[in-house]
Amino acid sequence: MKNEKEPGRRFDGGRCPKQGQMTLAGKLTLSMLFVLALALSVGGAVVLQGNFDDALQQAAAQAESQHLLYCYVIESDIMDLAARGDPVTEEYFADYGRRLTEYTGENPVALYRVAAEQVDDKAGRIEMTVRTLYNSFPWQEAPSGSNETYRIRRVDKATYLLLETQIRTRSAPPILLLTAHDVTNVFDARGRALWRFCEMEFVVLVFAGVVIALLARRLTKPLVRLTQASRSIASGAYDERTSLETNDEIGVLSESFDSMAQAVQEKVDALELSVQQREDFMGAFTHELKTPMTTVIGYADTLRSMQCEPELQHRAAGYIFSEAKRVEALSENLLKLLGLRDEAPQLTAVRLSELFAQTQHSIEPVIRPVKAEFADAQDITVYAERALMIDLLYNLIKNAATAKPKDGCVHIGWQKESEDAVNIFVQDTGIGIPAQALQRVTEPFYMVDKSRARAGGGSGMGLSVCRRIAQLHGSQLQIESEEGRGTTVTVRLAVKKTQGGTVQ
Amino acid sequence: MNRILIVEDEVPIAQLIEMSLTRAGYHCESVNDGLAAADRIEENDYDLVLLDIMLPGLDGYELLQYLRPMNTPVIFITAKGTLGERVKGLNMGADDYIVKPFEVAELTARVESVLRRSGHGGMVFRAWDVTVDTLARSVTKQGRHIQLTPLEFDLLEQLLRNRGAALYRDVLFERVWGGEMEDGTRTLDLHIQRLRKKLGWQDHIKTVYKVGYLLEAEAKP
Repeated sequence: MKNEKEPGRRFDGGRCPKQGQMTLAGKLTLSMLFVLALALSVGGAVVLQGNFDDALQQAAAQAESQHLLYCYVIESDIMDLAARGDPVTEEYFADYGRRLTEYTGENPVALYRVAAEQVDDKAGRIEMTVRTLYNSFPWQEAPSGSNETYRIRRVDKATYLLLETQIRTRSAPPILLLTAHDVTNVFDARGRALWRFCEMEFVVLVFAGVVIALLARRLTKPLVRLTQASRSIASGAYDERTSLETNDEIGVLSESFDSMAQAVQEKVDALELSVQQREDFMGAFTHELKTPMTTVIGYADTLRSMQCEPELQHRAAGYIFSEAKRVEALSENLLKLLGLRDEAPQLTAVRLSELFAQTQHSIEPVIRPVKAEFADAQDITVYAERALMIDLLYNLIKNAATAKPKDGCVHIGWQKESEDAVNIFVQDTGIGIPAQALQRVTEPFYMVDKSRARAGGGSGMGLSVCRRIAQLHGSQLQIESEEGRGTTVTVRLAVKKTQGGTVQ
Repeated sequence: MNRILIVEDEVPIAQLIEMSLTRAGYHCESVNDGLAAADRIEENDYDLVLLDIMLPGLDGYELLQYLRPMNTPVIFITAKGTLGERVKGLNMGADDYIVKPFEVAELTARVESVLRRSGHGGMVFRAWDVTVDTLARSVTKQGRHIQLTPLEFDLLEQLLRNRGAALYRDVLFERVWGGEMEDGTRTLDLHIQRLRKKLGWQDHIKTVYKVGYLLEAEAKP
């Protein structure tokens, strides 16, 4: 149960956007929309404000010219009255105001008589005391005392532009004319434009949002692929690759991701292979150890539990002896192989004839009646570890002898391969090795014919040891064989060069 | 008599199993490779097959597949003793699993128990006028029931399974009582005395000097 849960949890951890988190595409879309909205708004505001300012300016200029016209009419009337010698009465102004109101229609008008003026030093403004001559303003309005620019006054939904002018003449006291001009449409136009702009912006943003989202998804699609690939690699599919072909950083990332996955796969494969090899070795070793143990224990158990017939006693003891010998051979070879695994031996210059002589001395009594025939080694000197090389030859000759050579003889010879190397071979004319077994004969515990190998006391490890020794001498074990015709095993050794025909 | 087929490529082990099981009262045949085993199985009917896993020709797992439809009980005998291998073998339908190296007593016990489970077990021994049923664990002499303690019965079974062979005292004790024999000599002797008396076998259970005890083989008429 625990094992089942474990990968599941890891899987969840690998899932990219958790609930409530946003995908990269989402973030990209939102931030681009934000920038777009900001730019549109600022630009739109500037344009709208400019339009509005222009329109207001125009309205103000128009209002001002009208206002000046009224002023001019009043001035010329006063001057006419004065020329005729008529008094300029306050009723005249009130009357004029009424006529003006009729003329202007909805725009209110006010006329004041300036009674006193006082300059306020601090603010630079003129304080006035006025008397109202005429007022058609529906709301409370008083003159401001400045006649430089216009004022904007909002009343209910309408907007007015207020202008005031002091009319000074020699024949009358100063008169203040205050006129209002309706500019509501200018402001309304601004409001409408703003609204239209907002609508447009909304449509643009929605459209742009869709397009950006699609683009962002398209751009981040490789990331999704990468995520999937890394997830499946994490859950054990080491052969998964992204193979994205884009010319940007993601392409580079994909490439390095793939090479990382490749490295991981190779590592895992190597590990699995080594585990497999170890398991195979342990399995074979267990089998090779337990099989003779079964015989030993079984027959010993029989012997100790009852008195058996002499014939059975003899056979049981024979089995116990031979199987115990087998375990012994196995353990010796195994120790040898383990010992050879670590350190590389010190290779020294050894005369080949010495190697041959020593091997011959130890092998002859073992393989009798088969003979070992060594070629003349002349004055060749090779680089080798003496004891190991003798061991290798010993094993090869012993193997060859068990192959029942037809001429009753194992041939050991040599052949110059180049200036630097010599091939040493062990040849027999025995039964040979089947082609399908040739690849496997150097595997530990591999035996072509179990029962025959057992009879000869073989453990199935001899060639493994030989191969290892050959490797330590920088060579491979070359095995050529033909069934029924015999086998030749060759190992290559480095030669110590001679100078002037003499051996050094 | 139960027929057992032994499939084992190691000749000494095959002989050992055959010898031990024959002595225990089974009829045994042995073959040394998988293909020969398949042939034998086709030709004959066996009550039990003892199967090595690593075999030339057909391996033990393949043979097991072949044997499954016949409902013949199978015991694997193998050096592959890892838990995974055991589970694999049992899952494939093997009835039991004996890991090498094994002791002879363990082998016969497992064979007996698998045969009993499959309904072929329950060997009946007959010696003179005594009948011993190992399944019911009952002993009758001339049709009359004889009461034995469990240890007396085990001792009798050991003697019957090794008839004609002189059994060493210490091993006999170990197999019946379990454990080392220290002061067990008296116990063993006492139980032998009781068996002789209850079965009337004063002459048939022989004391062998410096060895132990022996149950005489019946002279064939």
